[in-house]
Amino acid sequence: MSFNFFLLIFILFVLLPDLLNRYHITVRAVQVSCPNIREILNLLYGKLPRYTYSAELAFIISLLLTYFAVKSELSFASYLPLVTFGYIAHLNSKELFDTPSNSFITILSFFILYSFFVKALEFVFIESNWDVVFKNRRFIFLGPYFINPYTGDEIWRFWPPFYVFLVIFCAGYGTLSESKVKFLLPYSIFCLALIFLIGYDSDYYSYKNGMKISNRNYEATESLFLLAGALILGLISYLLMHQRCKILEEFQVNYIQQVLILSSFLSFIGMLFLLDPPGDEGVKPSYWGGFVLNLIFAFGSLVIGFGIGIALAFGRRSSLPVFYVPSVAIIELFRSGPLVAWLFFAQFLVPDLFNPVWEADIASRIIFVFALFFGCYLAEILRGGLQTVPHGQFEAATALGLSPTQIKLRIQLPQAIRTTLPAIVGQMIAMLKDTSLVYFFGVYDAFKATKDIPSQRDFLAEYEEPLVFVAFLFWAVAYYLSRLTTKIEKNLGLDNEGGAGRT
Amino acid sequence: MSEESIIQTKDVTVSFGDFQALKGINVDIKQGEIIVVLGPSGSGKSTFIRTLNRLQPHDGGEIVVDGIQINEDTTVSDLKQLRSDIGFVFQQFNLFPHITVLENIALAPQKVRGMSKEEAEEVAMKLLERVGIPEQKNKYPAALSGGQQQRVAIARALAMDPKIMLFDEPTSALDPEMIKEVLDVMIDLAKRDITMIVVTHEMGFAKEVGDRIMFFDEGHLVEESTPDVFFDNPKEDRSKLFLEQIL
Repeated sequence: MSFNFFLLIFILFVLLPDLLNRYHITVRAVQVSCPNIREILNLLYGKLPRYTYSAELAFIISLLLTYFAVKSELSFASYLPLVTFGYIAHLNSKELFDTPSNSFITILSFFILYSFFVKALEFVFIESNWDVVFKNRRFIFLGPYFINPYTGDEIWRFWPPFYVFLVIFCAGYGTLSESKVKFLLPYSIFCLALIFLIGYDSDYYSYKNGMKISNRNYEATESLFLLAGALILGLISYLLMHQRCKILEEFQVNYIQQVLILSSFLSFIGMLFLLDPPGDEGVKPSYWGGFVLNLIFAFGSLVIGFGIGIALAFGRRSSLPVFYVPSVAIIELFRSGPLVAWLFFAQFLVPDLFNPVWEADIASRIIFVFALFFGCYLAEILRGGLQTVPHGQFEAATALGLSPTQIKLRIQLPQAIRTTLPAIVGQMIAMLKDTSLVYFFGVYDAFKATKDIPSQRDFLAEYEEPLVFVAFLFWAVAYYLSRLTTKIEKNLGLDNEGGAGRT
Repeated sequence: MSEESIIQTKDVTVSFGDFQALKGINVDIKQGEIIVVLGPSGSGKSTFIRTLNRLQPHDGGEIVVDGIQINEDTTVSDLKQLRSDIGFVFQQFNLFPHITVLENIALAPQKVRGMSKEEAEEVAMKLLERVGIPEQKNKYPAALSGGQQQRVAIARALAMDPKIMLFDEPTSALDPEMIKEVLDVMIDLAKRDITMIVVTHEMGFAKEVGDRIMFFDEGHLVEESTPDVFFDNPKEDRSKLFLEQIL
């Protein structure tokens, strides 16, 4: 309130006269009494040292001050962001206040940002009760069945894959020729978040009985040791790989990267086997849950979908009707229907259609539909990429005597993937978000968990926080993927050829 | 030089829609010969050498290369065999940008000839030394200069141990300074017993290494003679005009 009031005064008595001054409009009273906006800024901040600061730092400072203002609820505190803003504006006065319209835009955008942050911070730090998320953290991440006290704790099944994936990812980062800080800083944040999530003893809630379960069967120390081992192993693998890749040549690094990608696929399959080994052991796919389920579905559909997409892309480019017609038919059929419709199809029609041959459970049926859907979009992306591969490449390979299949897989496809990488990752992110649709089919993904949490006895009707948290999880993974692509593009040297660069 | 024919063509015609690019070409090329194909732009010389490994299918006439009749009925395996025996060097290099220089050269011997990786890389390394850039083996083509790329392209074609080498204006896309390094490689190659057909605008090269000059104009093979005859007193008026314009 006080801020708005201050802004009104600012506009009425500072900005407006300034604008009038600039246009030589004589309003005698204001002209005499009000100095130029730059003069005010100079007067206020002129004696302060002009530190060189980055935009990020200024942003963080303003955010911290806004947070302080919101948290303290002191009237003077809400002026602090304004004062900071004034100081930054003073330093930047050449750009921010050089024309009347720019002054207006500066003030307006500051006002919008400020109101947004105030609201956001109020929600995050004052109105919300994050206890509901924190106590349900395993529920949100893994779903109900891995932590059911009656069927036993199956969480250990996630530890070996976690180790393997962490080592692979860290090694992958080591192969990117970047400064260590760029890895170590995000990695330490990641470590702290995990330690906090896993190490903190807390009661949690069983979804089935809606009752509180004490932490008696949750050994935080044991988990912490396991976690620390994984994190240290990850760090070591990063450092070793970083050291190694400094002396290796580019093509050897590329070879290592290919091996890492392949091994991540293999360990994904290994993870599926560990979660649900043949026999009665383990947890059946229909009982997987939480955010991990979203990730598994996305990754699984990605792997299968890539195969489908490549086949369809080449099929569509083929001149033989045997390949051409079915490819176009599949692509057009699956792309034209909404994904939800195809998921319903998988749930209700596929069992009838394929029952005698293939008795798949709902999870694999859903993965198959996702893969097909992703494959159809990927096929069109790849087709575009294949069209950009110069015809000379085909001629050169033909002249060497390579067979059409070898040309497609060894020459054209790698080049097409290189050029369409941003679009492919875009589609991957879209698919990851689409996995939240399984919520309609009784599969216990993260959003289904957020729907059930408000019915727990202690957290009745606390809808907002879990939803916000899960949305944040999706955002984090999607953002991470997009950053990773930028890095890979840089690594491929694509930004020199007009690729991602800064985003 | 043996007197055995390796390439024979009879009335070869190629049309692109209404435009007839080749209007009946008859040649007889002996094994080990070095043929230089000259002619103004659009005369059909590139089209002609592209018909020899069927990168460009011909409409009429007969082509026999190394005892294999090339037409629509040629089996895929024959064609593959034929293509692997004919090295082709392009004006635009057409190296594969996503693999290293060494892999570029070693790819086809592995995939077509069925060599092991070590064997193929050994061959590739020898060829890189022959074209004078062994130190570039682990770079990607984009990091090389035009001349170096073209030398890699020649090495790549040679890796298949071809009987015939076809060069389609190998120096036309290069800076003047780089032309020499590529021509040196080609001159070195010409000393070995390999059949070469070179489409080029490098008259010096044509004089120095050519056994025979073929002069094309408007889809016809206008003149066929030794370099001495062709450059000093050409038989045809069209050849004279061409030489007057370029010299």
